[in-house]
Amino acid sequence: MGTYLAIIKRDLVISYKDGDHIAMGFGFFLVIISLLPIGIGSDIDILPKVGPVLLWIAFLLTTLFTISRLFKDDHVDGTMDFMIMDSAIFEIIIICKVFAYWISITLPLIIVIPIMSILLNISMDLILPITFIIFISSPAFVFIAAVGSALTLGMERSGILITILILPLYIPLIIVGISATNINVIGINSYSVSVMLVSGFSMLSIALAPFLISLILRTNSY
Amino acid sequence: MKLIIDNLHLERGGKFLFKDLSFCLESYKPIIVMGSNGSGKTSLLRCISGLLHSTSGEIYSINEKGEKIEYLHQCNYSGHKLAIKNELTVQENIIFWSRYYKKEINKDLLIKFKLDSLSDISVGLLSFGQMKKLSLIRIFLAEKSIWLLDEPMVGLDRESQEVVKKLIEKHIDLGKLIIITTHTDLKFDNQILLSL
Repeated sequence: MGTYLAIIKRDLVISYKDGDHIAMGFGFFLVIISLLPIGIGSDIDILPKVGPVLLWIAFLLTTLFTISRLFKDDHVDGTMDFMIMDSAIFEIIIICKVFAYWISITLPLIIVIPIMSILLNISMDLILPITFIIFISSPAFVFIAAVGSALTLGMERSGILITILILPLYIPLIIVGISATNINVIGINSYSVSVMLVSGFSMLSIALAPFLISLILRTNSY
Repeated sequence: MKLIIDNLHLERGGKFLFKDLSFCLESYKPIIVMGSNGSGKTSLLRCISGLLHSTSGEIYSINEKGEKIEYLHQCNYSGHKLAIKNELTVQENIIFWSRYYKKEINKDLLIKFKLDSLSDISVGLLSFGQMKKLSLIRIFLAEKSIWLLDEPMVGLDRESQEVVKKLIEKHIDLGKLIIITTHTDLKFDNQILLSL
């Protein structure tokens, strides 16, 4: 357990010392969300309708934008080499790294979603369901993006390539997630089904992605 | 324990770096790999450490009973990449490894390498030689059975080279295995010289 905690702690310390990455992700999220009301102009009734969709898209793009460095630094400085050699635990090491990323980048975004929802004039009774379903789906967001990060390791401008490669994998998640945000129309039962489906996506990602990432990183460890 | 390198071929970029390479790494018999730049010294170590796939051939380890055993988790590789984090301080890097490998920090080693007074300094501010010493501490701290050291003396001052040499001799005396690539004149008892 000490090994895994050490990796999580180290990655968190590096994230907070090298704070520009967190600030960039956070700023990117805020910019996307704050631009929409400016674009829509004076028609304030449209905002609550498109607001939840915008939150999902902003969340997705921020994840794809910030994940490119997840494995890059360890690959460049050689840390990845000795982690790969500890083959029995490499998949768990990957989970630890993704978890540290989730705490440092994703969690702050989830925390500000209620505030962003108010800015987007989203109805108060929708704020909690929207925040909850994004929270539940966040492991799927991060693990799928981490696969993209591993695939594009060593490439310049990998952020754009990750987006192109990985975006189609998010379509089912986004369809289910966005439909669930309209809880007033679909009702609580359909919302519960959506939550279960999104949880399924997340669990499947947690179970499969580390093995896929491990395979990609081992193959790329030239 | 023995490490057998059996008929190893490695082709990179359409050129064979080595062909039919076979040798046995045993206790008390360190292997020193020498060769010109690009002759495949680093690639050989990366093949043994499982970080590079050979074109053909086999690398395996056998125990005293002659049974094949998994060896990668007993290996530690120090390459050209130093595996240290510039954002962290010297102490934070060392604490990370001690927790990662679940080993106590050897303060004696820090004193010998003159890194004890730099513990709160960010690694990004160190000289290359100091970074190299810090990188080697990871190998010595982990205490694994097989050391694969790629030019360990590069960038080190004379005093630090002596410290590293003594630590390598101690490792050999404990019956553990070691392969070192080098361009300098390194001498150990019972060493086997391998030219690529």
